[in-house]
Amino acid sequence: MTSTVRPILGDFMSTECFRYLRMGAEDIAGRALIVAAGKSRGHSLADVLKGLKPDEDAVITAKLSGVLGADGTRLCLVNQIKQTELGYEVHITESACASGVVADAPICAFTLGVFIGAMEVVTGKRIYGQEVSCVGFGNDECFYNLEILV
Amino acid sequence: MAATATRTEQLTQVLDALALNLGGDVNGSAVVSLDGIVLASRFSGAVNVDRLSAIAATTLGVSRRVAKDLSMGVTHETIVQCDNGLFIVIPVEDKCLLAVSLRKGGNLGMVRLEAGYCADRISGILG
Repeated sequence: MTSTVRPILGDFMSTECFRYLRMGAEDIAGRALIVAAGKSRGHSLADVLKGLKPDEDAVITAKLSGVLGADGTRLCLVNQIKQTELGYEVHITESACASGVVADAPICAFTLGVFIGAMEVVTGKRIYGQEVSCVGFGNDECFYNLEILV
Repeated sequence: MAATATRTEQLTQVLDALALNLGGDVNGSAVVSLDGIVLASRFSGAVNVDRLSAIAATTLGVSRRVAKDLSMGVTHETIVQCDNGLFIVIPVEDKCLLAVSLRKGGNLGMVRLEAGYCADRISGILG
């Protein structure tokens, strides 16, 4: 869908501008603001995720890959979402959050929030998420551990 | 034998104890991750706890930036004082935060004391 107010530029912009928005806000107010924005985006995917069962890892991965990946909004490449004893592992690459960033700690606050929100939609439960590894931190992939809160 | 309480249940018990010990001064409370995710809460259904938790964590984040930019040391608490009550955000080490909504006229000194005890218990639960 291309916005009528951007007939030439369309719906996409550079990760460079996204980086200034995200890191500027984070510098002033911390990560929570950005995670909340990401969660809101994840919740907005309810239509796409409607009817999925929490144990359908491959289908969930495919759906989120479609909406967030190369044919979607290009937030990241969703490589695998795997159910664990406590929740889910999320494995992604090319996260917009990590693009052009070298950090001394994981920095995917927005992307993490998106997956928290999306999986809250799938499970119908609150989810707590942590970044285990991050491309911006020098790792090969961004890896999040999501824990269903019970 | 009773089943072991989950972490969320244990945190909720801490919040219940806080409310009990403060004798009605507390309108609601929550344990929130530093990323703004609610880990346990005792707010009424009228409150959007997910949103409030994100706001509480952001409040703490802003307070910490103030402290850092003004070289004022570690942030121990943030208080929002309003016409009809107080909203207090207390960091629990670098693990999470405790957010407490206090009714107008509530005993802030007692809240600080009890919240300190709560913070110790929360820290123990989160390990």
